[in-house]
Amino acid sequence: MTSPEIEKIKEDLIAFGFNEFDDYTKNLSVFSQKEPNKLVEKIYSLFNLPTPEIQRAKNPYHFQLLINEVKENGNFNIGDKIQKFWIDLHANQLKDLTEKGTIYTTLAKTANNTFLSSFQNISWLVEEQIKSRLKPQNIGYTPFQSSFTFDQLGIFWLRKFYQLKFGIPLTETQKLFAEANIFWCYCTENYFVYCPHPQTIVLDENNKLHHETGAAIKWDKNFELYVWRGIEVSKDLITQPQNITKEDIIGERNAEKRRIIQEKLGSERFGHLLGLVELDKDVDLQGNMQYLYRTKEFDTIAKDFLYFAKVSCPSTGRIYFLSVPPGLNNVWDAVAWTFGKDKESYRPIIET
Amino acid sequence: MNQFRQGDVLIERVNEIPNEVKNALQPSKEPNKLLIRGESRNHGHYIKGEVETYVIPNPEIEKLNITHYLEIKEEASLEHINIDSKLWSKEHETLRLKPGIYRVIRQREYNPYLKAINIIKD
Repeated sequence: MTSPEIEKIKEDLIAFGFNEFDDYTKNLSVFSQKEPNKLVEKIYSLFNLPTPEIQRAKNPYHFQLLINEVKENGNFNIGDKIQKFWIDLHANQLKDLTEKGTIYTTLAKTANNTFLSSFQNISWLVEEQIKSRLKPQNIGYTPFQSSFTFDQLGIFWLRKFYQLKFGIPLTETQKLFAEANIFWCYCTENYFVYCPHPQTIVLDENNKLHHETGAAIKWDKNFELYVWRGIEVSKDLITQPQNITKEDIIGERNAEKRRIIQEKLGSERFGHLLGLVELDKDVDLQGNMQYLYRTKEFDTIAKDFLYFAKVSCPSTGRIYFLSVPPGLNNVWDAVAWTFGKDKESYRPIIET
Repeated sequence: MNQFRQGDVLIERVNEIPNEVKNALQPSKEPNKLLIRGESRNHGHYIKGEVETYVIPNPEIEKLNITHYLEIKEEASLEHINIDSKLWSKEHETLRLKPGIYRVIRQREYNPYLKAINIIKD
């Protein structure tokens, strides 16, 4: 196969993957209601296993609690037949292609670089949320690597593409599993615990979770994430930004999240809320203006004025407000201070 | 003194690794080492190449917040990539670093209420 032919296939794959992704997010109201019991029965019968006890979780957190119950009741027996099921599910029918060339590797990389990475980001955020809820309760977390993961829905699209493009068929297990359309599942010989798809997924133009006024991903009222361009933020910031106070801004130690507060509120309101006075400004190597501000009012909690450097990221253009010590009057001293330096000793020759 | 900045990380070329660091620490020779992990995104700053990396266990945040010393044997790169997919984050361009000794300084900010200095969590 020539290089232009491979490039064309790559383009087709990207278009196919994003199209599937788009269809998926638009049809969540259908997917989230699916009851895969009959398909699970069929899958188990393919491996000569009796129908397992099927448990439907309400959301990913509940899914973890159900897995723990299964484990605590001593039903942790994955069993040889289940192992065969996983092997069949992940069977690589592309061996011949791989031997002929590197098409499979190239296309898998392309998928990874595009639509699959969108899945990975969603999974990561959901997993972080689950971990943060389980930790205070001392409940163990079962990594999804040991079960069917949401990411693999994207891998099925890849397989579907190979089927259309190269006529490589899916195995019976893969067909049934794709049809069952489960977000996450955990199975043993006797139990099949699954988490349905969320009711809502809202993405931005870069396929990152993002919703300006509501939950970007939601199963039910007990499990919904508020996300701004791929970063989880508080529900209040999204739904009640009018209630954000100066203390909320200063109390947010994460610079990225503080930047999001600024983006959500808008620079003007952000500055107004803090009541800033411009002390100094200058242009950096990339031509971006950098500012040094202090609050208009003396802060009675901090017992001083609050000082901020407003800097632009040279790569992304994002604006960050960084808190700096009081008393500074030069913007470069302020920026340099954030790296433990002063304006004479802070001279980066390249900034990315 | 050559300095290079990638987001919240400053890489500064220096003449030598302090003896107290060399004597106390065993360098890592991992060819693709995560130096700084971002907290709100699943990204990190990775140093790639033939590099000996000394990880400073307790950086002096009040002074110069040095987190690592690097002894770069052959031209290496500092890449900002997704920790899971190992793909470029599309946020900060890769920096090329010539052979030499460098120190890694992490950005910080002031907490006016606690009168404390905090690490920036990118």
